Amino acid sequence: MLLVVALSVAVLGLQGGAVRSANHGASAVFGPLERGMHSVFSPIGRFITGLTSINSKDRELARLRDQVASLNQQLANGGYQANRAAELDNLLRVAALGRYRVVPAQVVAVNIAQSLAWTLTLDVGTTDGIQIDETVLSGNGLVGRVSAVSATTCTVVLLVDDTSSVGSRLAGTLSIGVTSGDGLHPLSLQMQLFDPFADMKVGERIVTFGSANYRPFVPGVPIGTVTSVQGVKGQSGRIAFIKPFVDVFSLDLVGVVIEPPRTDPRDSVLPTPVATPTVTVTVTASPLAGGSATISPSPSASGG
Amino acid sequence: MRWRQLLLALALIVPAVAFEMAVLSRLGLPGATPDLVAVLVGALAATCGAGVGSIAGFVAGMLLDLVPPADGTVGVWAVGLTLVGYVIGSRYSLLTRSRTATVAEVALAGPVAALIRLLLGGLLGDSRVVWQSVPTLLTTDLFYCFVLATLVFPVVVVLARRLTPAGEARIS
Repeated sequence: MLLVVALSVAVLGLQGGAVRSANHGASAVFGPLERGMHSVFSPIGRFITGLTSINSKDRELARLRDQVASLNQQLANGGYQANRAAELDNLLRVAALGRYRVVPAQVVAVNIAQSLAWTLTLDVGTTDGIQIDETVLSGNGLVGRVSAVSATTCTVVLLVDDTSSVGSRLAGTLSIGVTSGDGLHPLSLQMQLFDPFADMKVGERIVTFGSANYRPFVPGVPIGTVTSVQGVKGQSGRIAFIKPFVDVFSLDLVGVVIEPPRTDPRDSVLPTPVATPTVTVTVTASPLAGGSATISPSPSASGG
Repeated sequence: MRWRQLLLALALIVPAVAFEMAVLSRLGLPGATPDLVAVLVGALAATCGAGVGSIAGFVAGMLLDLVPPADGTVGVWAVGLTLVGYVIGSRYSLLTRSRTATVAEVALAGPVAALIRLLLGGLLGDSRVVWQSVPTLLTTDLFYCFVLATLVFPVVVVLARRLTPAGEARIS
């Protein structure tokens, strides 16, 4: 009988209201549970806690061990927090460059591989102003779009998922196309260029073109770099393979764009490819002078 | 109905679903995600029989289909896990077998449920089901599930024995 119920849900209830409300219920219950699990397990450094035994006769030893453990923990947390701060910095930079209004969010759960759906859960929901079909980005580039939202969580469909496709544009040009993932290779996307005669070179970068009403994708978000092109110029249906800027396996802190920019930021969000002067700092410690620093700017003409 | 066993099943499955999606899937292991939920369903079925096994499978499957990052057809995991729970549970009631054989059978719960889920998804036109990825997915799944089963099965046996009134537990 259970089998019949499950089968009929699977066959009939694809978009039904009952299923949706069940989904809402499940997210209401499991959102906090998953957040709890995440907060318990995510920073590995927090596992290092004082494991000192209380009944040890040497109290001093126990106290010192406690101290070492708590300092260790602080040290581990420091690394974690520095990493988090860097991620937030990156996100802020992207949001400022593109003039997106972004709500920062933490990845709390990822879909299991056997379901073959590249989706994940964030710890923000309608109470944070998130709506369905909003763009999700990280400090590196485009992550995906919001596909479902509950009060405290939302579900994001990643770019590599088979159901994702995003209108995209070669940076610096007006050539547009559609970029999609195949759900198989998370580190490679495919872009199909509309114009068969457009120039497309390896190393060129692509950004989002922007959807109608900016839903689900706002314009100007970096997607990735062209790694190879299949087909010859003039042939329709040429495919460029794109290496995405965002590594799906290390997603942690992302942002949901809750307000699109007033104007298309064009290519301004892309990390600047022009030669940036690299500053080399050499510090030599000497016992007398205390230390001398040499700063030598050297313009490197790399880029492309 | 063995209410205690059902309660035990629920108490194990609900946190296991959250743990699988919040922690195990984020480990970034090659291939499949270690399917703790399927192993639990298999272990519960093997210790408590087909009735508890299929109900546990149904509940666990519906949770896997509905809980947030899940996206797509609802009910496919439920079918797979209900079938697996029923089959393992009914096989177990027929013959008493060695612990190793039971652990192996429990470990099979993961890949078999995943295969049923994928076949059903494919039949229902889920565009995400790409058959190229299935062999690696299932073999890695079997490996992880075997490791998990050796750890989880003894725990479930002990818990079921503790909670079940004397004479009802099937494990000798």
